Amino acid sequence: MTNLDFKELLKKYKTGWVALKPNSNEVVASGKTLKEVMKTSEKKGISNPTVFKPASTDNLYIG
Amino acid sequence: MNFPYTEVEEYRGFITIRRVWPWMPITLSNPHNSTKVITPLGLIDSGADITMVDIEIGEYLGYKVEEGIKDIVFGVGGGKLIGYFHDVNFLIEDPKRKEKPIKYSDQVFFVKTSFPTTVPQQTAIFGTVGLFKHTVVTFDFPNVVTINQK
Repeated sequence: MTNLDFKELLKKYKTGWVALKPNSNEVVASGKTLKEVMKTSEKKGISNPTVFKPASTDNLYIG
Repeated sequence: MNFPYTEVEEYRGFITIRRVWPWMPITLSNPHNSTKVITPLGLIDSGADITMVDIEIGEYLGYKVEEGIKDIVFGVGGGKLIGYFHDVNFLIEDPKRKEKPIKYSDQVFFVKTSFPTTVPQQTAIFGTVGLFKHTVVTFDFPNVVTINQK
């Protein structure tokens, strides 16, 4: 199975919220708040995008 | 059903390191207000006791987040987060739409403030309550994560 490639995406988006076309790395909308991003996605015909908050990937995580 | 891993790059000095994480889309909805659904891309974390989600998602789904059951969760290193538990409906859909969706209800801890900025995952962490209690998850790193209903 091919990994979902977020390399370029996380270079471009550093904060706020990003909405993606389901099961892809194709950006539908981005913005400061989730509400704003969902509104834009809906206007573009994607009512249930995959959403996430970009963050720095430079830290190691253990949890 | 199978899900791909998410691939990112990390920069350490002059070296770029490829990192591969189990980030999955899981759809959440509010059983008391079913007008909206949302699908955060969150970390599948078998070491997490609970499922934690950013407060904006709770607000988007119509929860009065601070009216939930208040609690504090602790992470490695002693960091703590305040949040509120609420009942949430979960839906996991096959990316290829071949297998039957997995549906269940459980609790989500909506974090009062944002996740610490040092954590690479800022949206959601799916743990025992909210995922592993209901599903069988198999990690075949770095190729595929398989999730099936128990």
